[in-house]
Amino acid sequence: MNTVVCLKQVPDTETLIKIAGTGIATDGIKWVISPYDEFAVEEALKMKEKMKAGNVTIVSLGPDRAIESIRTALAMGADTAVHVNDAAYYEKADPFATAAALAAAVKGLEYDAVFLGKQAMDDDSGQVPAMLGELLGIPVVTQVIKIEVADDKSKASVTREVEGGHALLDVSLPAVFSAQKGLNEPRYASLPGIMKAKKKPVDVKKAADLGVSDGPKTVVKELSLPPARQAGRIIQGDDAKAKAAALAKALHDEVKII
Amino acid sequence: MTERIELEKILSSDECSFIDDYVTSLGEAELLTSLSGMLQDRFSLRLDLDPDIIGGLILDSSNLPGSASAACRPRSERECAAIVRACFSAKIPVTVSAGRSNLTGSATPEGGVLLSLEQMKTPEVRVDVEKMTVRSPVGIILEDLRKEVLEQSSNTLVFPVDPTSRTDAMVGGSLACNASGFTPGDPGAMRNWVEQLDVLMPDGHMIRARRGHYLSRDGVFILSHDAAEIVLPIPRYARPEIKNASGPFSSPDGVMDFVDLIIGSEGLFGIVTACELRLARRPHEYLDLFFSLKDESLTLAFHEYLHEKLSGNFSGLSAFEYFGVNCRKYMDHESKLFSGDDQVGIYLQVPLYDLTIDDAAQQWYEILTEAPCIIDENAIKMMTTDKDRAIFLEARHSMPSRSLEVVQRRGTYTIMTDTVVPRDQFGTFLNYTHELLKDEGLDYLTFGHLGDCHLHFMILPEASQLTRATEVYELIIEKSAELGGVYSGEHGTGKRKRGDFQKCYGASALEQLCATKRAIDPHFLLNRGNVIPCQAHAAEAEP
Ligand SMILES: Cc1cc2nc3c(=O)[nH]c(=O)nc-3n(C[C@H](O)[C@H](O)[C@H](O)COP(=O)(O)OP(=O)(O)OC[C@H]3O[C@@H](n4cnc5c(N)ncnc54)[C@H](O)[C@@H]3O)c2cc1C
Repeated sequence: MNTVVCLKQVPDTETLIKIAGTGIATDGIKWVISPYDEFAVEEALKMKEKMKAGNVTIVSLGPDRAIESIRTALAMGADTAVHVNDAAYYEKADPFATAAALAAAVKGLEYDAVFLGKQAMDDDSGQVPAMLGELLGIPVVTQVIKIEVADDKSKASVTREVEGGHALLDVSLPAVFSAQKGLNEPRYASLPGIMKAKKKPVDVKKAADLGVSDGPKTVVKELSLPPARQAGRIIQGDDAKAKAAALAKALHDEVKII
Repeated sequence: MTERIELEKILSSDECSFIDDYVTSLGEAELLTSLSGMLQDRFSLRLDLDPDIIGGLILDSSNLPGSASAACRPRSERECAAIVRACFSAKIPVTVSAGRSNLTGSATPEGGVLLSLEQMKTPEVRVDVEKMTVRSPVGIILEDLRKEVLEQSSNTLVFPVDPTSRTDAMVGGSLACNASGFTPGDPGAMRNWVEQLDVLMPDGHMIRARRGHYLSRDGVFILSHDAAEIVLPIPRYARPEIKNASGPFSSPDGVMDFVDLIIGSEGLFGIVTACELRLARRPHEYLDLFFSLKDESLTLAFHEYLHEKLSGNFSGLSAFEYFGVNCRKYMDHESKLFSGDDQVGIYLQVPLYDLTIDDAAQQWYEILTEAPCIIDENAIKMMTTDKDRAIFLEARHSMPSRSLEVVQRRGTYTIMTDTVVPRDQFGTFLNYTHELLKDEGLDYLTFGHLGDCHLHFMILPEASQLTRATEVYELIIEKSAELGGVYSGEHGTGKRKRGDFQKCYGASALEQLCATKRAIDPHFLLNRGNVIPCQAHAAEAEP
């Protein structure tokens, strides 16, 4: 079973984001694999272990720094990687341009399934999985929480999360699967895995090498943060009774909930 | 270096006389109400008599029932001195509390005044980067101090003591209990890092003790003020050379630093009002490894192997932790940590100062794969991101909370050992304890600080097993004492484990503690009931 995992490197979810123009200030940011993409890596590895054969290839569009996340996935057990390292393309890439670059990279590989997270943790657009399936001309199943592949690799039974419940469906392979939380628990990289990852092959490509020329279809015009929360206030009063009265007054006059 | 300690006055002689005269003029019934008025008028200090306010302060993590007639939350050394002096004159017991995270009832009052130090925020935290020290108040959460140290030193220095409870415990409570964290050996505990303590004595006098300055001679300190002298004998019972938070510090040869008498004494001899702590260089990175093994016998073999490999010194590690019998069952993220049907796991953390992470990984790969106890190399997990580490800590912390859910369903509570035994007795002790627990059919899990031979057995009894589980706990304590160990490596004695103290050190040790206590606190008022059982001082303690 050969699988491809598309992953994006994103700021650590604990990072305090600062806006800079139509992007974010990148100084001091710790970069990690987008958490949903980690589920995708884990599922591909589990599948390879279960089928006892095949390759897991990582495909990532990102600048130089993305190699760290690619190496992390290789340390977890992936076999090879394609790094679409094209800063000029990446900086302008919207979901469509991203999907176009990924699709072009995936087309050159042998695969039975493509995995990726249901959305990237940074821009949260959630469009790439569907666009990727369309560009590859294969079915897409989103929000997957369970996958079982038939022994002959012709199809898979999939459970996906839908509002208030689960949907069970069969899909022919190859197909694109977008991972939802609950699909698995991503493994830690092993110590020998981390050491071996440094020697695993990573094919570095520019967008032009892949023949991708389509530009973005959308442009970010502005980013803004949610309004800052107001500071808390300590209710003053000489004793408990006075404080309770002051609190009741504030709840009535200012918050208007009593 | 001297055994003579000049006591400092925080309150003037006039103020002390005023308090003493005022108190003696009061009848018992009006005592607290009048004291409350006097402290407010003269020292702007509030003594709360409101049962609701008191009720909110008496419960600590031990869940032992407590009671107090009044509560006081001083904000400064002077306010602290005023309330302590007043209680000393009026012979009112005073129980000190801070973060109230102790598990032994050491901050649970059994009557008298509860003195909460959570408002003691002066002096401000001040890091001296050159000297690698920090001056700190006692009423600050330990983790906040650790963060402040990082910030003020621009991430170059750390305060390395990291008890699991560090987001609840305060600096003062951690000093009083000699709290410790993951780091094995002496550097893991507070004692190792203390440069100076400001200590308010039970009578309201102050001692500012720098490490190395006040050393007892022939087993005594001489405390002097005005014309008076107090001979303060120190405890001299033998302490095994292992990690130890069981009872106050002692010195068989009669030479002890005053600072050491205070650290770990659970507030029996004085109240720490401020401190100066040493700091350590911050490593540029940590190598974090977790690997699982089939069973505990392999763990013991690995422990021996690593001891030899590191020439008997684990202090280059910042963690050498064990996840033993049944941990896997009670742990979140267990499939991430344990491989196959492995039953136990080991966590190692190595601070990196000069080595790169790659070199360290290579070095530890060789150390681990050369171990004689078959470690499957693919079972060695490496945590590389903050998220990896956070998940590991979540797994670690999930064990006690999931165990708690189990005992709550059973309508009982957990009974946890905190024993440490010498390394050459470790295997014997573990075998004995496992057999005992299994023979009794008790459900339990084992985890803790492998580097210090300090493992916790957490017993989860069914309702019908409670009495027997308590007896089994006693047997475990007796066994550890018989093997030259101690009953507490970190949680201390408090009220819950005061019976264990005698089992560990004998009746004469208790007599020595009483002698030290009596010299400075003749009515056993300060933190009454901690370590020393009430009957041991009942006659002299009664007001
Ligand atoms: C979930 C959990 C995990 C824990 N993990 C650890 C651990 O890893 N390592 C460890 O060592 N302990 C641990 N503990 C125990 C506890 O957190 C420590 O004993 C801690 O040092 C207590 O600090 P505190 O501020 O909460 O003190 P309190 O509980 O308020 O008081 C403890 C004792 O200190 C005395 N005291 C407090 N302040 C002063 C002062 N300024 N001067 C004199 N005496 C004072 C009190 O009178 C009392 O005797 C744990 C507890 C819990 C609940």
